[in-house]
Amino acid sequence: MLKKRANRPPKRRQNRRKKLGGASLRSERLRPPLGRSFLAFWVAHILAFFHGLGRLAREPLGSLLTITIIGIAMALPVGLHLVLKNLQGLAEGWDDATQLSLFLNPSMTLQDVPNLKSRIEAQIGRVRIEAKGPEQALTEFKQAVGVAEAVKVLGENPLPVVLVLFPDPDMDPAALDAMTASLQAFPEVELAQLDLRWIQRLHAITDLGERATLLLASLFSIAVLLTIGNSARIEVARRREEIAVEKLVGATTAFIRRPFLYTGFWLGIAGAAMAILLISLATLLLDGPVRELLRLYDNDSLISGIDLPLGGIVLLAGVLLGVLGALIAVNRLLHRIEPDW
Amino acid sequence: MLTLNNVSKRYRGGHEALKAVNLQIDPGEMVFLTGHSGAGKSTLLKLIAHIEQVSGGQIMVDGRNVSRMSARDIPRHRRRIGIIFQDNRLLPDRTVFDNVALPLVIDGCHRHRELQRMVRAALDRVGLLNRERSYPMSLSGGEQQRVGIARAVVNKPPLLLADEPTGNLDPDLSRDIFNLFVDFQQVGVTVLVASHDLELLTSFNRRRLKLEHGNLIADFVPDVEEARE
Repeated sequence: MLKKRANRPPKRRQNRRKKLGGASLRSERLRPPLGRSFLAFWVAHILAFFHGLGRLAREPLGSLLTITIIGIAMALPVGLHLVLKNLQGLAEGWDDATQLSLFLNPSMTLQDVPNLKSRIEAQIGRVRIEAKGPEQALTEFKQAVGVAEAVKVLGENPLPVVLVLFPDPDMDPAALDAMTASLQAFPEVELAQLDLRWIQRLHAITDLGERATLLLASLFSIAVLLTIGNSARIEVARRREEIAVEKLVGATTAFIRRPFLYTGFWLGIAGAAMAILLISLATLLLDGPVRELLRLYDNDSLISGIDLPLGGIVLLAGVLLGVLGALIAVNRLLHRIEPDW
Repeated sequence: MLTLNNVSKRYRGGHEALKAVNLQIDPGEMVFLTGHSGAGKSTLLKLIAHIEQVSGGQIMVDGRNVSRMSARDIPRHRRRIGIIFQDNRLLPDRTVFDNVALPLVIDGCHRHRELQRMVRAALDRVGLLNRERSYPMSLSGGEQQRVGIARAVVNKPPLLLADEPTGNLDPDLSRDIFNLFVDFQQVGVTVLVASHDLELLTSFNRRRLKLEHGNLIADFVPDVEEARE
């Protein structure tokens, strides 16, 4: 132990001498030790992270234009998605109310209802049935539509007794149709009406819309990729000399590429934020009219704007598109710039 | 330090820039490369720095085989060589400090203090310590070239290549630049300077290589008498 310790100082001195004078004498390892390169890797990324932002800040107007274009391109599919989501929400609110209305002959009164009820249940099984007498119906009619004056003119109450059936909401449409037909066959029933078809149609329309949204989202994603790629391309052209010099003094392609990727990152995330802003603005502007419309339809569900998960997805999509767009555009170009003098 | 074995370079289109050049330069030597323009001086320097690839033969730099270098190693190879250009190649939108710091940043130097110390040391060497905040355009031609030299030596490469470094400068400034090269040689750096300024070279008594049409036609150390003439 002691001997070893005693040996150390001269060794160290030797090393130092080697470092000072001998650098050029021996062939040195070209690659730095792993620990150092690991730290340098993160430092390089942090530097490029802000460098990328700085490049955008130096061209504020151009950056803002690009960000706005990306924002609009992303806002369109996301906005359409929200419209559909709201429509679906509306339809779901009415789904529970899938109901079958039986308008009875004018000669029928509320006294006849229990008898008819039991015969209906004998035919189709137990089901919740509500009876509405002509007076109740008239009162509702007056309240809902506000035509009290017109009703007064009629003098006599023209409304029949109505039975409202609430079938199992999971029943498939064909079975519902069959049930409606069998009830229509009752002589006491003037008209059996299934209040469902338009909901089915709405579902069909929103399903179609959902597909259209996906298609639109793919198209606009390509638009965002191209926009970011194009601004990266312009940036490469503008920095041609800088890139050449960096290559001359030993920069790796990764080093040169990094700030461009982070510029893409910033453009993407800022564009996504712009899209969220635009949609929030649109939601705010539409809120009043939509609320009024919903009120007229007796629906108190709230219009749903962009929420946290959706916002997160939009931001993530922006980042991915930004980095990918820059990567695709820059990769090829950087290899084409030959360092020369 | 530098060995060329039968090195030749043929460009696409058939132009033969170098023909079977053999050469050996020892560590710490300072060598002048002369010849008329188009003789192959720049080509030779570019091959050494792997800016261009040899068509035949072998180049060894500091024990590394340049002709058989993987793409991954090329950037790191260039970091071990300081290159000085005729038109200095400074970036006009960066300060003198940032220009000189570029090779260090590229090399992953992440401690600001260390970076500052090395950049200032390099600027001090070329006598421009007080101009670190200036932009290249506000400097004179000679000063710009000195910034270029500071950038080339900032990460202490063992080999320095200069291609017509004084091509745009008047004789006095050119002499200053060459004196800087002598300084670097004296601390052990190998220096290879391509120049056709024979008058200037004559006053520095150093080994001289002469290229003509891609052939190395002369390799000699001028004697002191000739130098004094």
